[in-house]
Amino acid sequence: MNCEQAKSLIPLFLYGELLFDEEEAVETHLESCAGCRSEVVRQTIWHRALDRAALTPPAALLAGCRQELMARIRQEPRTGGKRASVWRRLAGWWNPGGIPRWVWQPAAAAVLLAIGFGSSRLLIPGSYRATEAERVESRVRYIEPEDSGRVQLVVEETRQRVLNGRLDEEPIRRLLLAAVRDPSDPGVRVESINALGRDSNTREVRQALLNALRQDPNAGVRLKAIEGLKPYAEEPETRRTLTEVLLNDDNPGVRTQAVDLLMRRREPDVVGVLQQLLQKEDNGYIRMRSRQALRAMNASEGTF
Amino acid sequence: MEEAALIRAAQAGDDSAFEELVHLHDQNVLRLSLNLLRSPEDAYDVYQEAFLRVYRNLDQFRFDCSFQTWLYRIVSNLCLDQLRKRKVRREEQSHTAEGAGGWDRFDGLAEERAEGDPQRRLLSLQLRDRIEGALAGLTPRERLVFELRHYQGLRLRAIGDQLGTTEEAAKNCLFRATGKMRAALGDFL
Ligand SMILES: [Zn+2]
Repeated sequence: MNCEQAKSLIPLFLYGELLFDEEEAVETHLESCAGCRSEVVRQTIWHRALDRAALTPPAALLAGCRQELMARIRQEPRTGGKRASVWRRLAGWWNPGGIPRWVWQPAAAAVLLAIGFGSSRLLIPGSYRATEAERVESRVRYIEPEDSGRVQLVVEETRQRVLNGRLDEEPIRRLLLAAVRDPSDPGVRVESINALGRDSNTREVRQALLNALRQDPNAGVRLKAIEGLKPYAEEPETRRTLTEVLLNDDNPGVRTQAVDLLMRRREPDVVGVLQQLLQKEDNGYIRMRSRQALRAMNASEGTF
Repeated sequence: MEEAALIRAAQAGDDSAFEELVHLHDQNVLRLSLNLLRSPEDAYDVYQEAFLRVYRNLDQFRFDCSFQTWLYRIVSNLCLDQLRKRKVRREEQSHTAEGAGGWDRFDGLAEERAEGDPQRRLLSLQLRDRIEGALAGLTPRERLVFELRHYQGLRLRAIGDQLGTTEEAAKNCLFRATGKMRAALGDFL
């Protein structure tokens, strides 16, 4: 292979897209030719320059895209009867019977109808801040069918904007702490707990994690809360809450995490709890952990 | 939920499954269209149109290729249309103020590593201008193949599949694209 042939193959060589034999031939040529080697270096440099020219979509652009997409999809006609009608779905939401009580509270039961977005097109004139433009989302709060076949809706309109900041910034933390208690969306609660857990060294955040662990009806949220509490496993209040969870939580996954965290430090105060636990626990792993711990502390398995 | 399960649920009418499915792929879709079209507004439109098409035609997805291939095919076609339209427009307007100011609006978008060092910043701005110019010199197809290979890291075989052509044709296309890029950037770097 001569230099001209080698040079013509270098671009594809750099992408690893040559045939096996071609690649072999180029490599052999490069070993013996400094000129072509420096061409490889040159092209590698402009690859890196091209990489730097790549655009990263700002978070606000993505958020805007997602929001409008879902709004448009809710307005799409349902096809083939496969997809439940919007109205049937609304009726489902409306019936509080099947929804646990904690959801059925003033702020809850937000319905997925989004109507009339203020500006449906996102414009980004000078910079990315402009994408923080507020959007209006409409949520149905109350539905009353009328005899005529019409329906009366009470709609609450909320403005949406995108905020971007660090966890220790006051507005961000305040919003996350509120989101932890948002009854309408367990997904948001999981994500907020997750975010808060990464910077849990304020009392306020720790309290929020403890409350979520004790009270949140969603096991995913409770698991995230345990994760966030790991650095504080030795504090008395954390241990108290873990004990409570161990005895009362109905989710074995949560109890497993609780027993593991609690047993990081085997203290006499847990003996009674473990004995009590063995009376009622039916999860094998948790029973095993409890027995191990009792044995390690030279305590008996029974309460007597 | 796994992707296949999400697709089936979405096909059965579960909109939240559809949303989850979108979230698996939409960052890549947005990145692809933003980088191809170099315009947030156009990328935004492609995003909407692509996922609406997916939503409307999901019933017809039969798992005979990967969902990503199917999705990228849709996105690629929308971007190609957009690039072709622009090319026609540009030729009609016979080279107005295209190019020069184009980058200013991206100052907040592109990663600005050279920040703080005015000389490096200037160099990097000039370089971006050059790269932008070089990319604009590619045909829509070359542009797409180059984007998919260089920035999205797709193999030529997959790119061929996606564009309904052979690996060989994709290879030739990439070859022409890199040749033009090198000619445009060669003396600068
Ligand atoms: Zn050589």
